[in-house]
Amino acid sequence: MEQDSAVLSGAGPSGYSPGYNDAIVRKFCVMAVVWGIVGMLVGVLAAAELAFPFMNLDMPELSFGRIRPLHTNAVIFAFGGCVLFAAMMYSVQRTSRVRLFSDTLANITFWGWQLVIVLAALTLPLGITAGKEYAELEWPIDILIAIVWVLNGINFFATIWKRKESHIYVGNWFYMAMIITITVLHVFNSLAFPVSLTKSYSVYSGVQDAMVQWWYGHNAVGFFLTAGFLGIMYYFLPKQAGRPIYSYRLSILHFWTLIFLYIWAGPHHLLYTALPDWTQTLGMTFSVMLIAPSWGGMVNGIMTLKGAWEKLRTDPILKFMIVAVSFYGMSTFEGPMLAVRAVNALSHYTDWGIGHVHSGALGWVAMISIGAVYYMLPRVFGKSAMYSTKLINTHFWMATIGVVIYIVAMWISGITQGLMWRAVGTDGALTYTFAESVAAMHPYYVMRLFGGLIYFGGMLVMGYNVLMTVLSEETVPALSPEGRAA
Amino acid sequence: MPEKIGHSIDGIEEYDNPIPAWLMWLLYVTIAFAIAYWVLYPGFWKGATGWSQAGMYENEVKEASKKYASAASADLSAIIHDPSAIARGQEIFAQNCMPCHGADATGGIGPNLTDNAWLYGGTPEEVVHTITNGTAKGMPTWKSQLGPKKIADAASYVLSLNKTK
Repeated sequence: MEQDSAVLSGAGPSGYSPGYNDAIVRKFCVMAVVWGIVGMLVGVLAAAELAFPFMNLDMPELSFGRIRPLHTNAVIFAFGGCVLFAAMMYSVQRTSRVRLFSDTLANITFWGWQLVIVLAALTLPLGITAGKEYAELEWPIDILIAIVWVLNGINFFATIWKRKESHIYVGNWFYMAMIITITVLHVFNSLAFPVSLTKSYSVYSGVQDAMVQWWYGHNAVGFFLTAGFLGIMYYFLPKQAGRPIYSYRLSILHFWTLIFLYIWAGPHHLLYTALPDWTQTLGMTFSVMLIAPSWGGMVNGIMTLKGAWEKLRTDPILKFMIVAVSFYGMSTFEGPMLAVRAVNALSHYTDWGIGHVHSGALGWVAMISIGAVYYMLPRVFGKSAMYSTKLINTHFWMATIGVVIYIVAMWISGITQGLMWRAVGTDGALTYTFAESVAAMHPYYVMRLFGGLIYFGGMLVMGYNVLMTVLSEETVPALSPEGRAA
Repeated sequence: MPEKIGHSIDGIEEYDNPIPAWLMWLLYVTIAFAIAYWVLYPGFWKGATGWSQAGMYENEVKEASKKYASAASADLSAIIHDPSAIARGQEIFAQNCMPCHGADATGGIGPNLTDNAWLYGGTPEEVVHTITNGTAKGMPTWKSQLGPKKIADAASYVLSLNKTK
């Protein structure tokens, strides 16, 4: 392997990675683990409340309606966001062979993003919300997000601009697509008239509000949780596997088809609503056409391991990455199926949707994130490896078993709900009351809580492993991680 | 061995393997599906099938009101021999009448209802009257608990038990 940073001059913050700003990566990595644990703990609480309602302790601040957006914001934007920033800043420097354009902008990104997270953690339990799913934060926080996001974008593009590598690496294409699109989505979905510091009303109304919301909501999935984490995959998977990317031309094709098609798919969240028929049709058909572009990423990831399959036996970090890519393939097949009108008529508003989003979030996004953090953390802290490879393996199995239990529980409960809601007796009246369907969910909600607890337990194992790695006295003075490993 | 793209970025090389044919076919097939769907369903035009969400709703309502017409009516002559009314009556019987008249209606606390012998009259109107008002011997009134429609359904079931003999 090439000595990645030996060509650069100037001492890095701790000497082990001269020229690159790895201090910022250290901060984001540690906070990713912290927010991962916090966000999933809140998720476990939310799951516990659905199975055992007394778990909200009769406190409005802990009620499901407030805890649920806290959970989604914490895992997507706090955990996922910190992983993304860490991975972007780690890999863009190395794939461009230059230090970040601006350390100041990087630090503003870090502290600004942490401020957003803390404000979210305060306002959401207090019931301060814009009422838009995945965009609940009120207008002053929205403005802060936009500023921090754009400043990071400037830093990223400027780093690409001054690169010493003639080619822009494929991982960076995905980051650039994410930065541009998320800016547009966030700004236009969040446009609102403020009436006080903590209350605003969306500029859109009625079905247009719903359409803009899901144009944003689905592309938060498409460009933040998909494009961004494909960027992570394209750097960290070939690095960890020590194998070349399978197909350059496949990466070009699936990049352009993915970003062209994704942006139209949002209306599939609004099938059989007041949205006009033609708009629903567009959402459904563009979703179906997304299967092959999505699978392009899965194929390129899995086939990169061709010729190195035996590494999967011994390398739990690689296991995380490959299982992540497999879940990506599974949920990007399930998604287009759920977007088909006839299937959606059964699945919409049921737990099947919750199962689907978690196979993407726990299976794909979190697993690739965890793999990337395990890769970066020892390198940016100047250690030769994580404190315990065995604990990484333990974490891997807890995560895999946890997510499978979670998804299976939601499949069963979702389909049961869908069938109970539409069942009619011989007189044409509904067979079940809504409350009967709620009662029927109880065993699956307990099962989901159990799966979530196992996944959360895995994050605690990771937290311990990270802590022991950071606290270990070992320091590796070598110039490059690859140099040390060889 | 496949060709490599002529660069190595931070040690990462890239093959230029051809895209798997099945993946390209999957892309073409889904595009063809989308185009066919746009021709058949409302999208760029009203669609060859004439399907619309509002039309689908209206059709379902129309079908349901036909299928469940007897369920919406308490008119005895319309429902007394209606198979769906008998089926509904069976459910009602199982939930309300079975404890006294037995699972097969051959009697228990209350009398046998399958022997074509009637203590209070065996015409549809008489059976409905009995269920509605109860009897002096201890059968309660079901007027408020079941209502006229369900009572008619139950009566159609009870009468059907005697016809089959």
